[in-house]
Amino acid sequence: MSYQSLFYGTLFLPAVFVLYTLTKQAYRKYVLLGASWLFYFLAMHRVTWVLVATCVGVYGAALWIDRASGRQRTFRLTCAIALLAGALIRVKYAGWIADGIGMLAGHQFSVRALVVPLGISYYTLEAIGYLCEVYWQHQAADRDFVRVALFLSFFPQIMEGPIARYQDSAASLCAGQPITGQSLRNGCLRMLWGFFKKMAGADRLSLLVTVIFSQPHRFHGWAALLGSAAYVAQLYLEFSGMIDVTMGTAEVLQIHLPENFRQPFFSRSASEFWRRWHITLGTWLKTYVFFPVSTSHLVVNGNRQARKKYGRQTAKVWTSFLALTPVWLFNGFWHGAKWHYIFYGLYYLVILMLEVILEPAKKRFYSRTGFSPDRGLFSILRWLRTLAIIVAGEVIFRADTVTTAFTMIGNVFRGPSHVHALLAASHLDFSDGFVVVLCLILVTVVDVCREKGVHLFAWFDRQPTAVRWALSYSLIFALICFGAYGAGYRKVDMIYAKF
Amino acid sequence: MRNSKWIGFVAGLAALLILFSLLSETVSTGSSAGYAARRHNVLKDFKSQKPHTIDVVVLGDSESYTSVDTMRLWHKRGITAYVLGQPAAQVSEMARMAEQIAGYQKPKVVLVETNMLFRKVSMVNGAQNQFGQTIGEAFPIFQNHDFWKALFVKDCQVRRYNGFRVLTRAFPDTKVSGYMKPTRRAQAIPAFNQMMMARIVRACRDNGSRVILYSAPSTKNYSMAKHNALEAYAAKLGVKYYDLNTRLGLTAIDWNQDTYDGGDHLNYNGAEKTTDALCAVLARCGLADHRGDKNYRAYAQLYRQYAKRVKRIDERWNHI
Repeated sequence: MSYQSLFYGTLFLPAVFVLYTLTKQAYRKYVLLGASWLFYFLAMHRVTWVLVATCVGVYGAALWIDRASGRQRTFRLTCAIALLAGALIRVKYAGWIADGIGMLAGHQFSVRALVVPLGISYYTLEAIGYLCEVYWQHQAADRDFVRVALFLSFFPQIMEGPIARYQDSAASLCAGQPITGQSLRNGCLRMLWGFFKKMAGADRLSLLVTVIFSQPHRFHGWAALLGSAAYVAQLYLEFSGMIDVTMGTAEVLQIHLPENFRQPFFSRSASEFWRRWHITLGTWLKTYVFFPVSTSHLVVNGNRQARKKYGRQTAKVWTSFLALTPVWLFNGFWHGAKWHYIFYGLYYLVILMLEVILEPAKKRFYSRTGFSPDRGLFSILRWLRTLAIIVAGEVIFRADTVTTAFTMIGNVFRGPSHVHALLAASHLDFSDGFVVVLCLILVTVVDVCREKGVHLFAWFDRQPTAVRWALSYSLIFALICFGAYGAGYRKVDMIYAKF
Repeated sequence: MRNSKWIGFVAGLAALLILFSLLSETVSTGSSAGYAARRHNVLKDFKSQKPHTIDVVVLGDSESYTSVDTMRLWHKRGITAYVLGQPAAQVSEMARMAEQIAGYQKPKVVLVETNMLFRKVSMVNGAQNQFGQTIGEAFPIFQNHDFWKALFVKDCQVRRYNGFRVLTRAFPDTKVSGYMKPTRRAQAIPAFNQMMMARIVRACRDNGSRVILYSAPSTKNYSMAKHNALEAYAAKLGVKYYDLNTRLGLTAIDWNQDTYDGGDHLNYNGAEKTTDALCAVLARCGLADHRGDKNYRAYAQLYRQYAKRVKRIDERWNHI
């Protein structure tokens, strides 16, 4: 089962809402947990036991860690993380690791491929985060099994996140807040908006993206650029759209989940982009990888000595390098066991390190010339540069191999471009193009409003009933009519669900 | 008051769904702008045929309408045939079609192209698809949702001859070395597809039709493992099975000339050869020759249009 299926939208979700409303507040958490495990079972069938076992294991491990102190505590945390990471590595990375070892040893090892449980990368990070919080005593080990299980398996977020922190969402998951008229209205509206982005925009663009990435040598110039930009647009529309669906569902149930996007294409630098794109993964990496590494004895001592010997700037570069390298390697590796994902992580590591290295020079330039980096021409140039960095990064991310990615990036600067051939091969006609452009314009308008601090839901609430109904009906029928589903369209799986 | 507002909203939504469904039905009829409209029109055209005049109905996915040349069947043996196959069809969709045939035609033979049987679908997904199809039948707007394309695309008529699609391009398949490599392995046919296939056989038998399974030549879609599975499955169903991939000597398919897209589908050339092979199979089913029968004048007329078109194609190919 997936979120964009008619069964989920018209039967499963309404049934959960009705059952949730009919149940007493204290028991609503059981309804949500039952629904989450049922959803998982419908999607993964027999593999559901992996999720249930993880819930039981994490619940027990947290209590086990909480009871110990000193080295025992560290040992127990290490064991728990090793088990969680081991399960993830076994199902997701074992084949790739075996291939790598085999290549070095000159011998071929075979590892039995296992079914990758849905959302394992997401709930494993959440589980590790929870155990670390218990270990650091930021959070007491929860004695309520349902709360822990629901935190790990809440059905709207199991496929693509957001990756929540225990203290941020667990309490509201179990609070059993009633569904109110306003929560239902706002939540449904956000879900509809998310579905529209995914089904009208992203799924149409996928036709074009599939063609260009399956024949990377064939298209050059504008066609290559169009295909690369189309993938960036597809990824944003699909990922942010499905996150809107998740957030909308949570909003109906009055559950608090962290936001995953904050208008990423308004960024003026790569580091700002990562503060606005997949925010919860960035927060997780910052909290559980960056901070522990940058506050470790090795890095702190190294920083002190480097500052004495080579000065402040060199020490900053050195410390940033030591702390950022595991973050970006982890980021790349988390997406999958392929070299291009690791290269994608390293690509951003290099760019962010360049930002750190060039920072004093940039400051000097702006102070001497009097130009502002945040206004006028320089602001536009920085924005364009960031867009180019993002597009090149996503080409590396999407291409099958690193070599293919470089070929595609190189093809942008070669001719001749056959845009018409690309459009013909993707079976996108003029009307499809019209819907995609309409969708992109609407998304841009909404993002601009958000960036300017205009609260569209509050504005919507202030409108008379007739206007609200008209807008809601328009969105529903835009989704039904413009959605790329049914005859003639391929079902497009959620991109981030496979990670 | 609050509840009455919500009830009003849902009632309004239902009314609009009905309104849009009617609108989509009206616009889709006679238009071939949207994918759904094209799909819809094949069924509409089938239903508009003179009752009980079709001898052979072909079900399946795109392999079906690129492999059975209905006009050649008419020309060679006077057999009236109609291909109801649809692009990327699910077995469940064809089961629904098979059940609808009875109301309009009593074909003596129903040919089922087998590629769709291997489409991956779990019982849960299958049930969900069924649910989607039921909703789509209740509110046709879900099936004809791209009816608005008629506003943009005026002239994209796909020419079909009783469901057969004439594909003229030849894009060779140069890598056929592993195709139909002998093996004793059998590829599993998903349980849901088996269930739906049993429904097709039941519906056809109830309508007095004989079911024959066949596999169209395709290097991209067939293997010996699939052949083994289909042979066993046909025996289980109690129907005949003809695999044209193992009878290439008979069909004489040339993968440099006879495929439209590198071995996935056949072009017009390949369809001619496959149809000739199927003609021999159908000859054993005791089908009458309708050529010269006044009731079948429409077929003769359609064939004349078809003949003009393929003559042009033949001339072009001969020229090349």
